[in-house]
Amino acid sequence: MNEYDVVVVGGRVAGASTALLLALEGLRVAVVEREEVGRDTVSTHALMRAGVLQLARWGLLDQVREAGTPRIGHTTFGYPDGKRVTVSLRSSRGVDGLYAPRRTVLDRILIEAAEAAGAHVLRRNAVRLVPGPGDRVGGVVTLTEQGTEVPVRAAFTVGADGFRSTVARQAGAVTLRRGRSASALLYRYVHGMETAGYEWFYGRGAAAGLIPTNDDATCVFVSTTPEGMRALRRDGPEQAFQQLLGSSDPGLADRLALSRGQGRLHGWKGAPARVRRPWGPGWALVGDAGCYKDPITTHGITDSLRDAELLAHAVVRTLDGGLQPARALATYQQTRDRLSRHLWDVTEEVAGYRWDADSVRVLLRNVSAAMSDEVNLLESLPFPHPLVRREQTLTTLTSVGTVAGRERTSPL
Amino acid sequence: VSTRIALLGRFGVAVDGLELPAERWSRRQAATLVKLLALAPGRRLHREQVAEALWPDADVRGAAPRLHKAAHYARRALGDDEAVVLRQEMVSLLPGREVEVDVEEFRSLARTAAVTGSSSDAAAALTAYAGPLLPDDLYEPWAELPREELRTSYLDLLRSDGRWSDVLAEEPADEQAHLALIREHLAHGDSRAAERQFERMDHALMRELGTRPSAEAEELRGHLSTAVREAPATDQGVRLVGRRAVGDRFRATLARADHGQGTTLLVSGPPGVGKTAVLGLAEALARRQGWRTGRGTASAVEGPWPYAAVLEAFADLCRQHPALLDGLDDNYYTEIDQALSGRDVAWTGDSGHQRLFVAVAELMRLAATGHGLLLVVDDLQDADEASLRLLHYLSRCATSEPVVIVVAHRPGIPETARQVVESVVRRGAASRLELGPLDAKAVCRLLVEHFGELDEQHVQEIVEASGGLPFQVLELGRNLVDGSVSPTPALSLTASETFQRLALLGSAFTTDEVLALSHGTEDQTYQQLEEALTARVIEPAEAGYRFRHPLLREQLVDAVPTHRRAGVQRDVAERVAALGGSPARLAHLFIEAGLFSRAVPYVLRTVETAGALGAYRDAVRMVDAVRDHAGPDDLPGLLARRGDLLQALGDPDAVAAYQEAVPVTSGTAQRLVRARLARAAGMAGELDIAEEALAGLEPEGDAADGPIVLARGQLAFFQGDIDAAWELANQGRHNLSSPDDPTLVMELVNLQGLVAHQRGEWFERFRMELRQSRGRQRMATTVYDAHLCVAEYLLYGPVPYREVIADARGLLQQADRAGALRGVAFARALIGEAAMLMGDLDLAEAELTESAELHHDTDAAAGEAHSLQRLAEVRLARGDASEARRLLQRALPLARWSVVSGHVIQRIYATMIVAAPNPEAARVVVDQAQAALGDSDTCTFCGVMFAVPAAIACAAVGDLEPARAYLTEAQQSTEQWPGTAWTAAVQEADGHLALAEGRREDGAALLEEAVAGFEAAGQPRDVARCRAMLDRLHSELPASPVG
Repeated sequence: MNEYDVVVVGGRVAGASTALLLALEGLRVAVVEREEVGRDTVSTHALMRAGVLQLARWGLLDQVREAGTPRIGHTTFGYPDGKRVTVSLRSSRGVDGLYAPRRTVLDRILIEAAEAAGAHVLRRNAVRLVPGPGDRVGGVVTLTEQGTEVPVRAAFTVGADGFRSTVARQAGAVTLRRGRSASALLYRYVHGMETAGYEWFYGRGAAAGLIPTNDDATCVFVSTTPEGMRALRRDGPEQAFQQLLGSSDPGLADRLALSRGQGRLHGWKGAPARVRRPWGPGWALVGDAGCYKDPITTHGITDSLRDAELLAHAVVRTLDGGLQPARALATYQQTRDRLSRHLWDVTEEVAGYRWDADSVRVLLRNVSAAMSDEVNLLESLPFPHPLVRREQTLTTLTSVGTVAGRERTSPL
Repeated sequence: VSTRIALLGRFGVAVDGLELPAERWSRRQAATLVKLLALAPGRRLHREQVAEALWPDADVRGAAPRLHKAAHYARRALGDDEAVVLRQEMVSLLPGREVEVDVEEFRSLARTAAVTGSSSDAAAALTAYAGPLLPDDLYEPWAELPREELRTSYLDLLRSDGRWSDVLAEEPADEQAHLALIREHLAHGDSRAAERQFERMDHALMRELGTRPSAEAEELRGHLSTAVREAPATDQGVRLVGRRAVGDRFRATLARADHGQGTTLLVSGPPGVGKTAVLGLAEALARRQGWRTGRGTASAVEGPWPYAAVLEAFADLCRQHPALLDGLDDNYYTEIDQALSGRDVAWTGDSGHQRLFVAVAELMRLAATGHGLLLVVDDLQDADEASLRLLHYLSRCATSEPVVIVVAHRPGIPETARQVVESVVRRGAASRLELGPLDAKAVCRLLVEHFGELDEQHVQEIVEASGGLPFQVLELGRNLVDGSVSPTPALSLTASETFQRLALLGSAFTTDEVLALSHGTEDQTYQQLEEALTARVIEPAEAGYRFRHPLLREQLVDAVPTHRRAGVQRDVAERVAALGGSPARLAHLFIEAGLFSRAVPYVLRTVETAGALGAYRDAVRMVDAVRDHAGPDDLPGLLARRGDLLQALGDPDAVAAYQEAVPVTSGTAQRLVRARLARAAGMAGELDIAEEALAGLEPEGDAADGPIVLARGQLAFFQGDIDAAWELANQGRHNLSSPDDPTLVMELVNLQGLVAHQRGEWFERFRMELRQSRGRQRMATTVYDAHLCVAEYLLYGPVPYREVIADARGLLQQADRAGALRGVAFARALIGEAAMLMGDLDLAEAELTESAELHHDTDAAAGEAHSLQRLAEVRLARGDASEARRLLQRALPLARWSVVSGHVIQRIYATMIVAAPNPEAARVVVDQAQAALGDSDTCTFCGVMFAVPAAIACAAVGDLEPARAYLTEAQQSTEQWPGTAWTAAVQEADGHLALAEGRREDGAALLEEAVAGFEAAGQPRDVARCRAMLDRLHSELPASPVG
């Protein structure tokens, strides 16, 4: 007998969002997360329009705002030829600006929403899959803090356990595409820095970004190829950071120097992108576990928020017997791939760091075009999400009206 | 003594209740100083703040005397020696005096209203806001922020006081205001008024790029049960009866475009043949492939704003894909948004349309990225000229993108549209698709599809009566089924009259307009609407209604008896004017109705916007329609603008236009007109007129000072007084008042460039200007214009061609990014010329063709002539002399009217000589050229270009005297430019003359030297020509002197 309809391995953005949506559907959901709720993690946490739209649809954007996350109204692009281009963000339904909440903020909001919707959060480590009937996966074996192995049986298992996904490995998820490029990153939080919103700089063989976030901090990252980073780090990470800052934009170092304080450096050595087949009998993958893109286009969280909904929809259809599981999950994969492929290809190119002033403009044009497709799809979904209680989204909408019906959402 | 300063809605100073006369403020700097200080807290500023605001380009030392001068005149204007005090580092206005400034008053009342929240306090504050801050100083950067701040606080007051209609007068697309009014109407139980308000909102939002009604609005609309009215689905099926071949053609076109070979399809056919349906088919096919699409319709009747047809297509695109705008540079967005909004824009005299073109092309590329883009423009025959030019440009940009542009038009389109169509077809950027009537079998299938089986006799009747036109087929079929006899849908008499009036108004209209044009009560009018909808005369549109088919509208128009037409049109115009609306539309309606004097004020506003957006030709037509009916208040502005428009178009009639404007203007306006007259006359070579225009004009500290200095400098240049021209140009740039008038700066740069060239310093100068104009787009756009002749120095000089090409490519990229189309055109011309000289004819042809087109699109006549002349040389090198002659004939009239005519014309004639079919004809061209050129205003450097072929042509027919004269001229000209390939060219001419004089050995030696010179310069074609000549000499055959 299954304790749960769905067990979600991983309680960060992709996992918590999936768990939230499934729990809203009335399913019994468990989330297995080994870390403390809302712990910070390596992340370029800039949300794009599609990501903000999802939070607004789920009635969670207000909490992001209330946490003091600054609204971002402009994006500035700096090119290798020194030119600057500013794009102002126009408001659209639910989206009054972009936001880049710290992961401590966003992850907590999502997991708490999932819990509030009825999901059980189990603070344990998932060690291996439990075999289910036939060739299906039947849940996961977890390791409690006390070191005991406890199986969590479920009709369906979701791997939202990141790039090095245990679920993917154990379920034998086939890798469909593997990238060649990778960005190695160094980043730190800087306090009291003036920014014009998101600022992205594309220099010669290096990139940098400014992402204003909570607590008057700005995430300042620099990136280059892993080889380039290894060479630069020989003189220490600080040197490498400064060097890359200068190669990305000559004015950045001065701006940083004017800030009130700079936190310690974090690093990510880079890994090539990977797309896995995201489903099999009784299991599915979401977020980086299923599709990992290089962070240079800072689109990972947005993708996760999008795919959580696509997957939740598919899982519901497989569990309520409305659709053959294979068909529902194949549709999930198709939609994910259709929306990701273009951006995946461009991200590969951008993460190659072989651009010049002209080609990087073309690449970024591609990024914009791909994001527009994604927004088009998400804007076609009901606003707010039909299962989200209306009062949760009232302030987002600043409107009055009747309570929305509780039909099932149909994103596909 | 009490002083009151008005800054809101106007500028004025009253002392003890008496308004100072406006003439006191003719010194612009003095007035500006007073305004600036009146606006400052405590009416005082640090002198550096004043200098920074008024003379941003001047250093501290330069600003000091100007400040003293401005203060002096300000004191004089205010009639008070202590009015402006410069003490220590501070500048104060009327310190210690009793002074009221309306801005302060408004701010204080607004603060009170915000605190108390009382309606009467709000009303008091609103009364104190007499209008926007300093409306005559729109381009003063220091006024921008406070103006916006005051306007925002005015709008906040209106909102807090619930004065929503007033909010909409300021911000027509303010959704909050629309929704509030809708709710008010609903609260009063007036759902029709609520619907109309919705319609107004939809209308306003359609003119905002990428804006859709919010969720809140849609929800409210949902509550208006009676209002839910589906606009007809624009998505057609992917199958049309009898149009399989058309569908196949679209599929093939989309497939090719998918591989980056975009194109334009021109769909033509008579009314009713189904063009619009075919466009729908194209859209459906494109969408099925995941392409993005956008659709616009040209409409002459509504009197659309410039670029309407094309921009509508982009607006439609952005409504469907608003997130695309997240990838569009704000500068581009602003350009497109401004043109789309139809807001009044003041024309500063520069050509903003180049930036608009670049912006639209960038949006097109962005939208095409990933999947592909289909743009549809219907009814091209009704498009304004500005739309045509933009379309022409986009068609050419589309060829290297996954873009398909489908344009539909009726046969017999206007001349400009025909030229555009032919040009893109000739360039291979477009192909035609003619729609013919359906054959009998297809007509049968269509009838079956819509009406089921009809009896054979009826079918046969319809086949014959319809002429195979689908529209007629369906109308006849429907009549048959409904049992009605009349081919036109039946409407009651009153409804017919209402919709006849609406038909005169245009093809689409709003409910407000239906109410305005109906003579019945509201209830009766709504009944008429229902009637017309039921009879399928009209159908719902995106915002309001439209006639279901242009033919239906035309039938209604034709039903108005001719003798009553004028009266009805007048009635329509007056009633619509009472509703308000775009000035362009009202101007158009009044002109159509023959009420010219009523049209005048609207024309004035329209011309301003049209000028700013580069829609010059459309604007000139409009001015000409009403000028004879303008009263004394409007005529000066109208005539001055007419001159400006013609000048912007490079039309020689600008001189006469300005001459007409002089006697009706006065004061600064007249000084400006005289300066512009002088400039136009100088360029036209009418130096006497120019001199007369400037006679007695002295600096007066007003806005005309700069243009007058410029005109004097240009006149000096044309008169050959290079030093004076240089002096005046520098003086002009030094004394430029704030804010930088971009057009004036560019003209001065132009003049400096010309003078620098005459002095042999052009290349350095040009690079310097490019560096300085980097990041200053407006400046970069016309720095290029001074190049046309002077770039020849670069081309014939010691820089290797590959380097020139590489440099020019850099320039091209730089200009492209800056949105400087003229810069792009210039760079392409330079690449083409270098390629031609080094013998790469394919590259030369491609670049020069593009350059000619780009110059044409941007109304740069000089550049177009220049490129055509070079293109003629390429055709000539390919052995196609007759095409070369055709191109030169096109170039000649363009070149005559331009600041660089003295250079280009010589080269056009030079190429004409070489392209002449025989030596006798060549000799005739030499004489023609001499007559046309005169000897006053030709460029000494460019002289060699004409003198060399002229000498050779004369020598060829044994006309030795003039041959020697031309040779001497060429030699003198070349001496000024040592180390250029022109030395070799002169040797070649010398060789020809020697041969004609019978000095064979001298001739051979000179030709050998020419060969060496051309070789050193890397000009293989010239080497080959001289070698051939030598070969003929050596083989002892009688030599043919012309190469």
